[in-house]
Amino acid sequence: MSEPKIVAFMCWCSVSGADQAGVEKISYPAGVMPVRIPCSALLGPELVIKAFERGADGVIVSACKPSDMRRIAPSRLTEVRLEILRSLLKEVGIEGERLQMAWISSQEGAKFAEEVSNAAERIAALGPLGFREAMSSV
Amino acid sequence: MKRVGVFLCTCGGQMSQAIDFGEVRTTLLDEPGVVEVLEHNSLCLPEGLEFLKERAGAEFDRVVVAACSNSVNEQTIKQTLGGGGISSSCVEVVNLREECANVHGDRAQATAKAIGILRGAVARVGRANPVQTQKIKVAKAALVVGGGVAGTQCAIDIGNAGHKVYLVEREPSIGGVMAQLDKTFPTMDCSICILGPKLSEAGRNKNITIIPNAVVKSVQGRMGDFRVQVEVKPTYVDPVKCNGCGACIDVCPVYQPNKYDVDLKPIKAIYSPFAQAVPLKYVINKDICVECGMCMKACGLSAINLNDVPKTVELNVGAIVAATGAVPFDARKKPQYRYGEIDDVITNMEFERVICASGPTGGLMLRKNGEHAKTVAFIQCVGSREEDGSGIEECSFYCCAASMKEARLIVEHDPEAKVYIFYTDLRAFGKGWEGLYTRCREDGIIFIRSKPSEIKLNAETIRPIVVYEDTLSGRKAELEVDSAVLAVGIHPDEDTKELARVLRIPVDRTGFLEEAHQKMRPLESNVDGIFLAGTCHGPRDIVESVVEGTGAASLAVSILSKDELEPPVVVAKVNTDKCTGCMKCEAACLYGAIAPENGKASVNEGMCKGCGACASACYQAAITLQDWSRNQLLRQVSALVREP
Repeated sequence: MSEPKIVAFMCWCSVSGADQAGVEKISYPAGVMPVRIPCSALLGPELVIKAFERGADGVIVSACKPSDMRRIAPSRLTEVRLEILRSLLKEVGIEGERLQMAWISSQEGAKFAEEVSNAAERIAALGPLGFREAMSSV
Repeated sequence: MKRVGVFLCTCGGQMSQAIDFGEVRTTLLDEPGVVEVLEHNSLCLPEGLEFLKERAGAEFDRVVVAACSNSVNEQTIKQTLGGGGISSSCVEVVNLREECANVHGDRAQATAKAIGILRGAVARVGRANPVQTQKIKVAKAALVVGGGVAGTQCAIDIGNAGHKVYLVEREPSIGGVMAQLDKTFPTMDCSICILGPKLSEAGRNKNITIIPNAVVKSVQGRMGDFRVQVEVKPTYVDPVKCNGCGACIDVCPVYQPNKYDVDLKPIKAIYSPFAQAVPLKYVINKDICVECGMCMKACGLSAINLNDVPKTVELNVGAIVAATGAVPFDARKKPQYRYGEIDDVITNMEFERVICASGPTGGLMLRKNGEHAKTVAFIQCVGSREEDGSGIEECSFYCCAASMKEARLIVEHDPEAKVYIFYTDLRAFGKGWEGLYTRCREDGIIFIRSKPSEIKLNAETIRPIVVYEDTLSGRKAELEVDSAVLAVGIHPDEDTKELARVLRIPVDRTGFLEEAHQKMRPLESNVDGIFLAGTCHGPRDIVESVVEGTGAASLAVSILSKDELEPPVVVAKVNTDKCTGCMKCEAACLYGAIAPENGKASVNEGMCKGCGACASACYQAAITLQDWSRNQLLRQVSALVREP
């Protein structure tokens, strides 16, 4: 099959992690399409659903590791929200694995490349999504 | 129709090698709104920025720049284009180097990805909604809360920089804890002798208004324009008329314990806490005053007004410094040391007053029964480094050096005296502290590594007995002494916690005020324009408190020296027509920046960090994060994954 198309929502710190991967020239699948957001907590379910609807095979949300944040860890909020969203996606026939979360902090270039590569592999194993077909089967 | 210009940086040929810019250009020119796609070999260099500004300013109202890492150039590019009249909201910088060219070896794949990213950026910028931000007119004054050494230093430095300062102090005089100390470590300077001149300097500085007997009641507004209400307690003496002559105290028949002397020495009901007080204005403790009227007769200036009432003072300031200090741990919370039960178990603050020439014993180290104390034990870490929750977990920073200083004072006063210091770990990390330790050893002061298990009373001699295990030798022993001094830790008091509530700034686990970032922004709170100095945000000594006073002053001055401030652009905005006042956003906001106002959510822009957690929590889509609206992001995502 062709490479899966994956939207990667990346918070500010994760963007730095992706930068680091770029500086070190660590390769990862080209189907990973970055969308910068100021903080993972901004991510509402409509953005994930829109990505699937418009042809993405998977979504990765890359956020700060809560243990790397001081007292306030908005990415915990994101984690909870994604868990709820995953269960809703299952209801419409979208496997939970298509929505992945990765904990990436500013220095973690190699980890960023590794995590998105692994996520892409897992998503590729599920085959293309085809959102409209999935919806019509409900 | 928006006129979008796309600028591609070839990065000296590096990027155009990895990505087919020709194909990118042809494809993007088909995107609605895109009027031109231009290349330059180095947009980051001055000539590149000049090219950007000239072409963009003349031809486009929206700009997408494809270059390298956003952290490197985004702000520079936005500033440059801002100079060309394009709002930062209408500029999108994407990183094609690190996020695409550098990480994908296949040129066709990299080109397809670059096209996707740029389509997303074009869609996003096409939906941008630039806001006209209203500049904040800076109120040219600062508020310093707390007149200890940190706050006093801070007020002096802001005043000397030419700005007005209000120094609010809850007590009748500024000076704080340092004014109560006998000597300071490691230099053994007389504390009030070095602090007094600073206090009077603050008192005579034309730019400083000291507001004693007062607390901050409410704070509204944001950096550059805070509106503050200060409540001044009644003092029953008109501070304008009182010249501090002291005729009133001579006649007052009522005594009370002096808080300044840790209640060890009496003072009249009309009083000033200490001789070097600033301002030197008397106050009456109405709780014990019998209203005999003697002071009114004695006062030649008719300054006394027994019908005084609380007053509210309204201030408009551009910056606020919290310097409310900390208080000693209540030694009663460690019942094993029987403080308050055994007369000769005292705290180190009581010791400071006892050993001070102006204190209750005239500087003689006396037991409660009046005998000379010949053997003295210091117990370290009382209420600090406590893992059992009885005190704070942290080391209290000052107490090792303070006890060494106090031990040396005893030996200085009486070379025959025997002094023991029971320590957990002796921490002598400051400048000159190691020398202090060496001199203690030379003076014959004995250091025992132990946290004593208890203090008992020898009922016959009425002397305290320290029960301990020497953790270096493993030996268990008891030591009978004339006096045991508890080196208590310090912790934030209720007034500091109340101030945190009023200022809406967070406190840490212990209750100390919390820094925006402990390392990189150590004197800033989480709220822009509110700074921290001294022990209100953790235990520290005089040196650090003074350093922080000066540091916080420089941060305050950096605001006050401007006439206008640019408000932050990326903040959450509430559409009050849509808002139902459910306040889900308030719960989602981890920075406490949202509160209800007239039944609707209201964002304090000075506290908003622009994360957008509120926007995604809003069921009504009534909250928008500027530059990151749902509409923008939805269109960006759609364009990003669209098939060619």
